Amino acid sequence: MANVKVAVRVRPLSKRENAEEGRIIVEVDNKVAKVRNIKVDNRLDGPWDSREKIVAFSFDYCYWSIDPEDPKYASQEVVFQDLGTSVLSGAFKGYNICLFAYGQTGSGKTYTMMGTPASVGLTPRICEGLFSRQDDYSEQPASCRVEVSFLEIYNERVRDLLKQSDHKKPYTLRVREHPETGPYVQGLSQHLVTDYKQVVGLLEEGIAKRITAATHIHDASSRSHAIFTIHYTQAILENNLPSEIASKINLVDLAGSERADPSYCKDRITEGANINKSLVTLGIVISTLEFADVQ
Amino acid sequence: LQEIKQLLGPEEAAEAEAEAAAALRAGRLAALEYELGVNHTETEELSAGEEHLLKCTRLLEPRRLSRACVSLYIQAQNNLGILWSERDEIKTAQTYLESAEALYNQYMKENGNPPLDPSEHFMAEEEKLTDQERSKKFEKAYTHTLYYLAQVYQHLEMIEKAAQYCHTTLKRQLEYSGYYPVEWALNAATLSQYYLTKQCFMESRHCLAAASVIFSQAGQAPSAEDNEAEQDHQDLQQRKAEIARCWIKYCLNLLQSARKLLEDNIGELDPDRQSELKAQRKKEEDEKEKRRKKAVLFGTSDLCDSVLAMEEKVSCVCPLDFKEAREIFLVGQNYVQEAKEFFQVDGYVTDHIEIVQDHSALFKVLAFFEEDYERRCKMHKRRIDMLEPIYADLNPQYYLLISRQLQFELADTYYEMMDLKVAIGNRLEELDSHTVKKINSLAQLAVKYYELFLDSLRNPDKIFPEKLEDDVLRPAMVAKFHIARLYGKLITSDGKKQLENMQTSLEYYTFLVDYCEKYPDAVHAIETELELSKEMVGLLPTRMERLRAKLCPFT
Repeated sequence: MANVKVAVRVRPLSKRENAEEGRIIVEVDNKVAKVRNIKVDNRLDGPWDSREKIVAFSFDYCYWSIDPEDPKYASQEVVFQDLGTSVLSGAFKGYNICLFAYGQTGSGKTYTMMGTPASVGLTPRICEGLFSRQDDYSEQPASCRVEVSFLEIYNERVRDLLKQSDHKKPYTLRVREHPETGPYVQGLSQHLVTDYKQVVGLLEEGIAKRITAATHIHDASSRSHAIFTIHYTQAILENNLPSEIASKINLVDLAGSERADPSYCKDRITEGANINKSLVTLGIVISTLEFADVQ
Repeated sequence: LQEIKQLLGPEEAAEAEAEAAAALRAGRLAALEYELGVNHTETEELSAGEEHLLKCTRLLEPRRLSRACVSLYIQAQNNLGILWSERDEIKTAQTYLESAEALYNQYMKENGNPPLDPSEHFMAEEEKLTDQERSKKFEKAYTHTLYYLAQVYQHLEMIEKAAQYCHTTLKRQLEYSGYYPVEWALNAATLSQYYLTKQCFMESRHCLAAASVIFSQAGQAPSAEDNEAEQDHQDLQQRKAEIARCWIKYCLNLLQSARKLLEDNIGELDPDRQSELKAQRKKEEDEKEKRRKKAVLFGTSDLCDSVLAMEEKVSCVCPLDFKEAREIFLVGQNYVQEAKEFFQVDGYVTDHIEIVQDHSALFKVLAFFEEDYERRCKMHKRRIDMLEPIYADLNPQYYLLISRQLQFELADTYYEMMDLKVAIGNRLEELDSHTVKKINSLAQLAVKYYELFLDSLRNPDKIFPEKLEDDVLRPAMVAKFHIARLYGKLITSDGKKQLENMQTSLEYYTFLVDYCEKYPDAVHAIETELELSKEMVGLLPTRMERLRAKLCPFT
């Protein structure tokens, strides 16, 4: 039985948005996010059609992170207390957990997941949590092993962000399936870590190797997915017999989900009823024919 | 762009100039408006884009069928089509594109000379393009018109037309546009799969044949020296295997289509229908030729022969007897081997198993054409032999869906084999112990796999769900029904054992009846089986009583 929780986080206005005097049309009220729809039809010449409509969406958690001075402000710490701690408690019990950050380029996914040196995000905090638990355990020293791997998916290729390779480009890996052990990434390097500093070092190393492409919205955004995986193994005594609890934590920073602009992202297609301009997409169009005609 | 426009001067000045000069000026202005329009459209300023593009077409309107203007006019209409699609007004987009299409056809019919390319307006005399280059560019613009129309028809759910336009686009890529062999081949192979859904085997085969021929043009990738090149080499091998899989589907679909035509109401080959269809086929020979001539064929002349040679390796008409079916089966089997070369179990579990499932399906449909029961049984045995080992190695934690599919298929196959053995047995004077053993063992194996399937539906605490999900409802019910029937088929001379079997049988029939009473929505999923189950629930207790009385006459 899968347990799925969804959270939404509202970020502050960016420099560009402030310069353009953008309005904040999102409101957060406990577990509900409300969006004001003030669409003005630019084909109408008449008076402004200010049909303000409020649409509400409910989530498991809503984080208001627009202004640090605001009493309602949800800091990195707050987000961690809710989401990070449940990731940790699950891992300690032996469950596998997956945490996805999803949203448009520039919406703050990387900030939430990785954070900045001044204000670290979920991933470093979760790692810290794993190690600090070790130290807490005075009664029964549960020995544990923490191994991490970091990969990036870009343009249908998987790259190992932590592999020390001779070439400038990160090494391309293949995704394979094994009948017994399931899907895996062949050749992905696993790194044993014993303290928090090591983890942060590896994270920084991996982030530096990520492929970034400037889009016209956000300067330092990325067009790839990054998955940081922690294999957490605990050695315990169960009925006086040695046993192991293994859990896997996947921390996923997804690429920007925005509609691709043909003039900037030529090898991605647009959604909806838009016509794809380039013949490059002929294959995609053909492949949807098979399933479109349902009799 | 705006600056150049200024340089051209105001439109009023055109009055004083000669007709030709005015036309030239209009053409240049139109080209500028076009570029401005496209620029605005790409930066999502649709209103401005529309304005400029409309200005462009207005300027060209009086001379739109002329050599100097037709290409630009069509390109402007293409872009207006795209623009309106971004406004979600797909019907408006359709009108622009269809108008462009009509214009092209009219021009080619009435004039046909390679028209000037819009870029030539701003070229010096010596830079101007050759007729060959002009033709290429013009045809490319039209190819795009057709491609955009294909997408429009797709959005309007006129799928057949969309497929037709995709097909034509592919054809034109070969003839005019330039193409990447691997990509083209894959697209043609994908289009063939669409044609299979419409049972258009001739078109499907043609697409596949062309795909195979063009793919072989791709040649060998350089041997793996660095990681990137190795990746490319892998990709090439994978594409080849994917095309092979499309061929497998072709053969399978053709055989299954034939089966549908030939089977009677109990799923056996109907000899009357067979002779009927054979006679009909003779009459349709020339019909076929006519169809072929009309069809959209790929083929520059050198390609034609290779494609034809490829096509001749397999039929495109439904096989009507075992001999014909076997030929198609063998072609399919060859492609299975080819596909498995790349999609090996270790690495590509899901793909590999799908290929093996197709192979099993090929045997299953071939068995339909085989008259001899023993030989049929052997074919089903081949299916067991290929599916059982793979199933055994599979971890259901990661491959639940495939695991269930295999369980069910194995169960069904053993069930089929058991039925055949019973039929064979019925022809003999009396059942020998060997046949009895065989029947029982097959029945037990079928039960085993149906039970495994039903177990897979249990929750982590091993409890069978109260209410079944829609996607597993029918298979679960069928499994229960078949198990009930199988226990009824077990042969034993031990009266007590027979009673036990009947009791188990009754329990499973009862489950179906009870479930459908509790959840009436489920009835539509298993109507026939439910009817039979109700009958058995009525009959079995009486039979069991009689047997009990026979065994213990003194109570």
